[in-house]
Amino acid sequence: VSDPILTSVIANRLKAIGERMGLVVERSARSPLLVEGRDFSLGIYNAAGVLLEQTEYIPVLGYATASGMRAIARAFAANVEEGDVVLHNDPYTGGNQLSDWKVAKPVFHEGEHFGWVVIAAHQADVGGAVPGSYNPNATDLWQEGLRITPLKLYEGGRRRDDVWDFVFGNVRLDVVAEDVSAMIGSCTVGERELKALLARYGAETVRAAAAGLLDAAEQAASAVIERMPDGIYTAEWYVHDDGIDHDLTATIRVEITIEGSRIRFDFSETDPQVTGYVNAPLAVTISSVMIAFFMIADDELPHNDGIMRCIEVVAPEGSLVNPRYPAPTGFGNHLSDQIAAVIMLALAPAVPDQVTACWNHLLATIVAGWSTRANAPYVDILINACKGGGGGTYGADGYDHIGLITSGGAIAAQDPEIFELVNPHFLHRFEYLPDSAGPGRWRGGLGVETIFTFEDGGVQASVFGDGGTPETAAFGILGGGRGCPNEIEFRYPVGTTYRPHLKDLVSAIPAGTVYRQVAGGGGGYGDPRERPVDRVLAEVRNGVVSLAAARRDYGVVIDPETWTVEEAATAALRRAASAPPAGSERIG
Amino acid sequence: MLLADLRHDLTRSYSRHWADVDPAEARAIVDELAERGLEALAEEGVPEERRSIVASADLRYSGQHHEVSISFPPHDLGHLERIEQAFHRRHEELYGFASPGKPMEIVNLHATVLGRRKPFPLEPPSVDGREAPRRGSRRIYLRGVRSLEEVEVLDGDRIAPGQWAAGPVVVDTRTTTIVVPETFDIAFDASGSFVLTRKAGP
Repeated sequence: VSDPILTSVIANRLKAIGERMGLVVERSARSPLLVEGRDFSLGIYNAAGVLLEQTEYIPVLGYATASGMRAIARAFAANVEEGDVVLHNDPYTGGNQLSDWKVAKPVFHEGEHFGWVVIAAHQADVGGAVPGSYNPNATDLWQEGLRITPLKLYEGGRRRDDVWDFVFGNVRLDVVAEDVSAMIGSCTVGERELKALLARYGAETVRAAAAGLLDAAEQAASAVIERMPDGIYTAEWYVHDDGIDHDLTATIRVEITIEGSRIRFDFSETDPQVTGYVNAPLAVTISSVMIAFFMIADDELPHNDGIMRCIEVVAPEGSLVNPRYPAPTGFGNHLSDQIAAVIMLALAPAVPDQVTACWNHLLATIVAGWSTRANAPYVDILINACKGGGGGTYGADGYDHIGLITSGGAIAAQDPEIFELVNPHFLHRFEYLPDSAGPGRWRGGLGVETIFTFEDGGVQASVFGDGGTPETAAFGILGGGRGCPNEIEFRYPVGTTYRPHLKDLVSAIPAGTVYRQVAGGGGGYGDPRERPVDRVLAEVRNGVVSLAAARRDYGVVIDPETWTVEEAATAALRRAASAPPAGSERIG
Repeated sequence: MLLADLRHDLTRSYSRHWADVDPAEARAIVDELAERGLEALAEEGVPEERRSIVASADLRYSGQHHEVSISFPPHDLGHLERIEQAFHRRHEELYGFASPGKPMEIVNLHATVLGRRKPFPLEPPSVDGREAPRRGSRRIYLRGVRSLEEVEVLDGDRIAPGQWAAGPVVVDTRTTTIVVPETFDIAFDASGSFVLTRKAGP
């Protein structure tokens, strides 16, 4: 039996170690994906690969790391020594995406292997057919990137130069080796701090505290589930375009069973895996379930494996949410958007005050080209341009310009000056798009519009995402309306415009091409006619809701001369029986 | 704040590859900044024997977005290898790795001048035995009972040593707010600290 106060002290120490590891990467890495986008997560595991503490910067990376870490622990169970560094990315041994590399370091105390520190982080390039490693034409995993099963980069503190040269000889950009060095440094700092903790309290005490933490997490999660009404809840939501078939619609179906203190997410009725790269590795599916569950939970929960004792995820092999080797999965990580959405939709009747309306689905572009100014190649995901609005929820509007749901708001907005400094791009516009948010008693978050010019030619852009039409944009719930859809266009200097498919590879983009993107808004929650009139007026005055939308969606009539509300007309309009706005999903 | 040393930080951006740094030029910049700092200290009446100067440089490996600040005596600018070694060491300490031999950049030069002050005697707070003054009430969320409850608010700036209050209660001070949950009591001790004690369990 462990002392609860000491357990809490050790728990917070573990959390602080994870945060420190994150700071190391943020401060010392080179790719803007890590420094600006913070596309990474940290974890501390026991020797068997059980998650004790997780510090998510990008949550989908966090829970997805757990299964990869178990594979690493298994692979080297009998062959691990102090100073080892293990690299991993394979989606078929627990990885979530070829681009998300894990670096793990074992931690020893008095000659005994206590556990692991690990960081998972998105790499600027991991080989494969397309720079940046989002290949919409892929039909197997080797066309997407280098597959790394658990692999020792260091052995007993010595770098294996043969392995190092092989790995980094198979990616395009030098920055990847530098970022992996920063990740190894992060693990070294985590290792030092964990060793200090073990030296202070002893392995037995820390192990007992860890067991206490897992039990506490299970209890807390059980209590959350017990407060949710028992029942069976189902929903479906859709994925569009797998890169191979631009007209494809595949369906994710979930049946959620709540019974006492246990909850099961069953994806058995989900469509089979598809030819293109939108298949979600099992790690992604589990991670997406966890993220949605954390968001819906009405209490803060510790983030460790104890929670998994209350949650069951059923995802049949060969389906869209657990594909068979060697299907391509490069986009599958982003299926987390759809998986989280279908869970919100299913649980809306059970816990209407705890779910959110749909968040804007990711539509992003990764660009690769040559910067004349830097005299070097560059690769960047257009982070700011892809961050749409969050879904509204009971009591609060959706977050504006927050980015995809499974980042949980962690993607930092890039400084526009850094954007222009690291890329040969000239930014013209980057601002909230009026009327992009789904109307609601609590509206969705606002989307943004971005316009810039490519200053160097010969750029290749890989477009990947969803939510490109009103029907597939972020839905509203309980009477709320949907957010505006995503859009991307390339306006070529010759005067033509190209609107890419949701999954597309756009090559040989000439200098002077103007790129325009709309990241759509989030879905609204509840009837917009119940939104307080003064809030609608304030938003019209702020320019984020138009006069026309105020009247049409919110039933608020504003005099464009005086910018005040016409009380009588508003009351009449709001009294009139009206259908729910476009895009509200019928619940129950 | 009355006890702090006087300090002036002066900065000049000096952005170039480490290999291109001209030690004489860098030294001249630091000396000029330091001179301005020393003039300020003189105006503030700090005697010469209580003044000191530290130089520092913000360094990074080429391609990094953030710098590591390295402090050194100004004459080390005549021995750039010392500053470089200190950077690799500090980088390893902070970030778990160093990359000696990789290209480096300098971004800023700083001079910091300090005017050390004489020690100042500290008096313990006086005891005057007043009641812990109430300043109204506020609704706060109590996690234990999962609801918003109206609780008393104490004026923490006018509380006297030896006084205590039973949770749930809120203590407002000029610089912070202390929420005392229903499972704790709060006391103000002779050293001027707030002490929370868990109530005896049921």
